[in-house]
Amino acid sequence: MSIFCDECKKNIATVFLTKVSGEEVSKVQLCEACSKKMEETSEAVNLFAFLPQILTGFSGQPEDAADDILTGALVKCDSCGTSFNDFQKMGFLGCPDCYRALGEPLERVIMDFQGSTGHKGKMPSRVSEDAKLRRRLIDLEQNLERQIIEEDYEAAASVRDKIREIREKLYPGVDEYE
Amino acid sequence: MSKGNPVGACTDWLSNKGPGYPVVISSRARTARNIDGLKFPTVAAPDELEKARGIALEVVSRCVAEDRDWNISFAEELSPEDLGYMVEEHLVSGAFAGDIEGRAIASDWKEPRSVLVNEEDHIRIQAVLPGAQFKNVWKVVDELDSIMDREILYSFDPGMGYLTSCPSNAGTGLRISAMLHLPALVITGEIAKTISALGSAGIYVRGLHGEGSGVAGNIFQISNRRTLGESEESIVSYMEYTVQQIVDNERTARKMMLRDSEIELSDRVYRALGIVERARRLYYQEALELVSQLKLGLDLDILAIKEFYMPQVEVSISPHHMTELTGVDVDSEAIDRERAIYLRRLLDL
Ligand SMILES: [Zn+2]
Ligand SMILES: [Zn+2]
Repeated sequence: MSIFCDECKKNIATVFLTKVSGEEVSKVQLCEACSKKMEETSEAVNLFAFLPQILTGFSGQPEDAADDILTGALVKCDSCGTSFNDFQKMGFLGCPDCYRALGEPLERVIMDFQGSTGHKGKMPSRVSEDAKLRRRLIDLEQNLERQIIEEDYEAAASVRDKIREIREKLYPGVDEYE
Repeated sequence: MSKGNPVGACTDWLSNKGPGYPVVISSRARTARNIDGLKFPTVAAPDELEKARGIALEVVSRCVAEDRDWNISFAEELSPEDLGYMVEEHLVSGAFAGDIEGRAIASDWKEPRSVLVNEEDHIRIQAVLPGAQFKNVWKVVDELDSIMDREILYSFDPGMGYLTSCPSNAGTGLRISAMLHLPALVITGEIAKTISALGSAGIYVRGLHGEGSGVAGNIFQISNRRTLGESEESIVSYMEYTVQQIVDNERTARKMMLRDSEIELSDRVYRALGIVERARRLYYQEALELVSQLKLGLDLDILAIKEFYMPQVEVSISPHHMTELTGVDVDSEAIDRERAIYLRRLLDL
């Protein structure tokens, strides 16, 4: 896929659109200037404009981005009915379950904005034992990564044992930690 | 404050100096939390909002508000004037005051801390202290949060942390912000560099009233952008460190101006004084700009007028405060006349 604007073919494309005409769905990528022109001539395109202001700084791959538009309407939270597209439009999620239901597209947005999807810090006191263990697992896995980078293999081995132990508690039967 | 806000919330920071003053005006902390099993307020139906409000306020009144030290108000019971007044005192955001259905504010009379219900999230706990007191202000919020946590099951995920209606608050849900008075950085033009450096360091820079507000009176609000993947303590120390750097830059800029362009500087400050002394009407924004110049003049020993406390003046000349004081309609031209008179009185001119 070229990085240039489909319209003028000389500027770098920064706007990714999905065009729907009848049954045909096609993807276009445009530069800022051409997308403005396009907006003026067609209102339909505007509906599919990718990512509102709240998500600025998005740096995903253009191809993935275009795919998101197609899956955005389909990925939906069962508990509250909010879709990924709704989230893009409003900038808000509908309920706690949205975080899992909107899956990977949402995770990518969060990763992009927050630079992390691994919470550190305070936890509710009444959080379930499972949640505490999963949290502990995240911490340990981060430690392990760091220790491997720092080539502290002795510490890494003991952390790996702890990880194995917790995984066994959380996911009995699923044995190998990869 | 002469009268006090409609909910009796403690606003000590408006009249007390803290560390880092006069550059650092105040430190603020707030956490975002949601009640497990309920939709976020941003999409919740009225009965669901009511339910969340009931749960949150019951806990506040039973566990936090001993005797009558707290005031609890439904937003619907507050008039637009009350809400405007509270926005000016930075007690609630413009967004809170803009759409009041199902919302509430519970505020402590003795300590500058409050609980906002059903803004973007079910529960937002906030506190403000004068000057640079980031650790302390987080402690105030942390304690209150821990008390409420014992009674309310919050939405939480081990990976994403506290779940919030906008994922930009997820994780710790913690926003630490500082209100800074940076006239020298603005006058020397250094502010552009500072803002862009802060932007790439993951810090938001906003105007006097936070999100979407313009800059007035050379007062800036800076806050952490990321809330996920860093512990509360590290967010706090990062903000502490960042603010210290900005303060150092502002102080350096002040020294440089005194050294390299003292005449321009005192000309600017005395012109501001001339206008404040003689003006027959002053718009709020204009008044803030002038007050900022006068404060700079005082800080640098250029002016010999009565010392004043920046946030106190800033708040008391704002539109709803002027209305409260004079009875003049908030949208009338007369309010600008009143402001000119009042500002002279306030500054003993
Ligand atoms: Zn083009
Ligand atoms: Zn949902």
